[in-house]
Amino acid sequence: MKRNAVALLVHPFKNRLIGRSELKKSIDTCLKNILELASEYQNIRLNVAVPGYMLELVDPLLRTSLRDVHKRGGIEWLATGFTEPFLSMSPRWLSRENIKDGIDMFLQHLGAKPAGFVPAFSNWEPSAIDMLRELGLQYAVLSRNLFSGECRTRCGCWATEHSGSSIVLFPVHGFHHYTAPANLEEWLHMQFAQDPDDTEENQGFSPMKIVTIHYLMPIESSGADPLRWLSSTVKMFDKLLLSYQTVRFGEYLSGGQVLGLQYIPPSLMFASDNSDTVHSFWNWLFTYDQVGVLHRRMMEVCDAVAGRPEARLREKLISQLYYVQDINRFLPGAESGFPHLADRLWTYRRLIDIDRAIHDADRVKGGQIRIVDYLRNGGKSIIMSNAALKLCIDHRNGGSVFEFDYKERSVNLTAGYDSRRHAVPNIRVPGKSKSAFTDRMLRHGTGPEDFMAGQFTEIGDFVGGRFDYKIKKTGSTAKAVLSRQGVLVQDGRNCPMHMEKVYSLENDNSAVSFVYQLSNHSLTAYRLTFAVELCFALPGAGAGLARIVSGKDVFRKPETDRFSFKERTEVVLEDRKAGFRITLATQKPVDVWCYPLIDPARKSGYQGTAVILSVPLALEGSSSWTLMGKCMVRRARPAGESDDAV
Amino acid sequence: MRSEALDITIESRKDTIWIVLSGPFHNEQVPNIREKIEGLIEDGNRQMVLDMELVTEVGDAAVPMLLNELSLVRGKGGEIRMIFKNPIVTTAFAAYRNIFRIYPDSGSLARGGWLGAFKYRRWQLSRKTGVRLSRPVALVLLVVLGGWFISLGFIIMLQHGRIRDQQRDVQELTQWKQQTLLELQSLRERLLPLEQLGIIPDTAADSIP
Repeated sequence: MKRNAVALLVHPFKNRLIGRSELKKSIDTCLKNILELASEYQNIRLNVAVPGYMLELVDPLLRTSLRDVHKRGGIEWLATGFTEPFLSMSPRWLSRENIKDGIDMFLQHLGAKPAGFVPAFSNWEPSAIDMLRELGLQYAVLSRNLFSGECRTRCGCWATEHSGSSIVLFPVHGFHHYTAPANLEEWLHMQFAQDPDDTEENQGFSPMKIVTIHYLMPIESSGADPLRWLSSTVKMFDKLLLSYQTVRFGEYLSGGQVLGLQYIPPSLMFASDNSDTVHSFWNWLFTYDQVGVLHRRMMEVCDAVAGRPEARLREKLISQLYYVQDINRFLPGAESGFPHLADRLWTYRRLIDIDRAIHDADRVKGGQIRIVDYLRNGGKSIIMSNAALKLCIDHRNGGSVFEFDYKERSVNLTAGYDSRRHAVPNIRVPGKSKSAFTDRMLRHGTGPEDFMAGQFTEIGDFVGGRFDYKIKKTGSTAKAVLSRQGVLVQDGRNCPMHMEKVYSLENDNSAVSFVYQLSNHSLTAYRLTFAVELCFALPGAGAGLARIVSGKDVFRKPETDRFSFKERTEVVLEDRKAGFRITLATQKPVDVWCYPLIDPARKSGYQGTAVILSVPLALEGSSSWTLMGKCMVRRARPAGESDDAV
Repeated sequence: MRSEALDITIESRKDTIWIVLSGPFHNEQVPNIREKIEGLIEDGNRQMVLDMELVTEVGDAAVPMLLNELSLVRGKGGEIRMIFKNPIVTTAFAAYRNIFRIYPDSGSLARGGWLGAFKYRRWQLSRKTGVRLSRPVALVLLVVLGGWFISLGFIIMLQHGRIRDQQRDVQELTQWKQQTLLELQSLRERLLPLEQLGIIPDTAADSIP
């Protein structure tokens, strides 16, 4: 009887952000378990994929033992990179550096070069073949769902080609410990039986068949023990040595043949239970809030880092970018990814730190204004920054501030998240995507309850309207003046309304001055409620470390409570986890409404706090109304440990 | 879309406003840039640096507009200095390079005028001739050429000294000859009466063959 081959790829992965010491302990335990299995069952061959940054943390004695097992052929190493780069979303040069550094980690710590590449979530880019071959990788391992339907049942490997370069691909069956088949023997028998070449007459002539199993093993698991399935599987293969031969991928390649040529388009296999993959995954991803802004921010930072002339600084910043370009940051996972406030803020923090280092190296004093196609949507965004703050203004969509960074604490204050998906894959949807200084014209008499319940009528066209802009720059001040001649609905009729708003950064202070001027150039009197919406992310909410204060009123549960203040000139949002205090001060008294942004799908559903500064207005004909204010951000004493995770 | 293709960065460095342009500078972008530069002048900025190194296209109307702005800011006692060395922008500004103060990079601008101008000239010549010399080769060539010129000058100086000496000798001999002739003439005049009286024979007449 001919033996069939089975390649078992074990892939420890980090399913959420965890602290460095905790990670070290977990990865040690995980690799120790794998090592014990490989040592106990010497006839079993394992393929193991580990990101480079985890190898750095592995206990040196354990590394020595792993080296020995590799030397006797018990394990073949596969690289994912230094982290797990999102090939489709990152600049190619950064992915290359990431994978190269990942390979170097194997050489440095385990004395062996990985033979193949495992793109996380089977994120495949055909144009990366050149890069992989250049880095000395012989094959890549992808989900079998990426292959065309008729080829999925074939038990073997394929070659793929793009622009003259080719590489071998192993289609794998991806399993987690909760999706893995209970009766593996039966499952394997079925897989081999499905192969159309597995007929009696072909038995003696067809190449050795192989079924590959990609076992994703979380290094931190609160539920069932992921090692249990692996142990039982290894034990089973040891018993069935006469039927199934466990192989290393490289070993199979040296003796086996590829089944043919396959073209795999750029792909992403997000959910393991998907029967098919979506090749237009970009569109799918950008129907989520915040991920587009995160991506644009990363690309901007990458461009800035690539252009730095200082080699030492560039090296340092690139190594920080490896963590940012990790695919787990950009996918909506159950325990990681951008929909989680802590994860999102962590990514922003890394990017802001890099940005700050570049700003310091440029020795820019007194602020900077950039007018660039930041969102890559064909229009310009205005980016104002100084040593303490950075504001990204989308003048084409309501002139709101979609990113507001407080550099001293490396926090994006407007990292709030709306869990409702976008109807079209736009990076931002005006009025829906969370931002600051979103201007709403509401029907006169709209109260906080109506607004918080979403039962309000917008009677202006300023939320998503296009604003004209002018910029002003002196040695110490940067200003953006936005103006729009818009429409206000009064008694069913469209009436003209002019709005001018000014954002100003002075010196290198951590304060933004803002001025609103609403002008009624008609002879009709207008009645409306003018509301300025600001969404802030308070990471300390939920842990009792965030509060909202106005005068003597203190609200300590911004993650659940809704509240409003009447006629206030100052409201303070304090977060002691991140260590900042936002003071919103206005020259005229305004009503303040606050409510939490909740994502019902998440365990900790808090995604930010919306603060609305509202004023009931009666604007006479040929008159104007002005509101001046300041948004000051100061450092506060941070309480508790920073969850500096990797 | 075309009118928004150019990325603009405005920042303060010391007392100077830096305007960094990046992307294609189409004619549609000209009013926008004019408005921004004039806005900056109105805000009291007088010293400006326009970095065009990352500009990929320059429309026909861009250079005249910048000339106008330069004239405006110079009229107010300011200056617009420009940074670029990319061939597209260099070609566009070639006819006006004596009007604008152009530096190849921010380093040259920081180092100052003469050295920056020298470096820019060097870079321009290098672009024109296609000759690029490494520093050691340039130094060796400079020493060889310098030595050659010094030797040549030394030879010329020696020759010049010898010629002057000879001229002086010729002059002295000529003077001596004239003086001798005069003395001979006076002696002849003194002997002439004695010869006429026949006291002494006329030797001068005898010596004539």
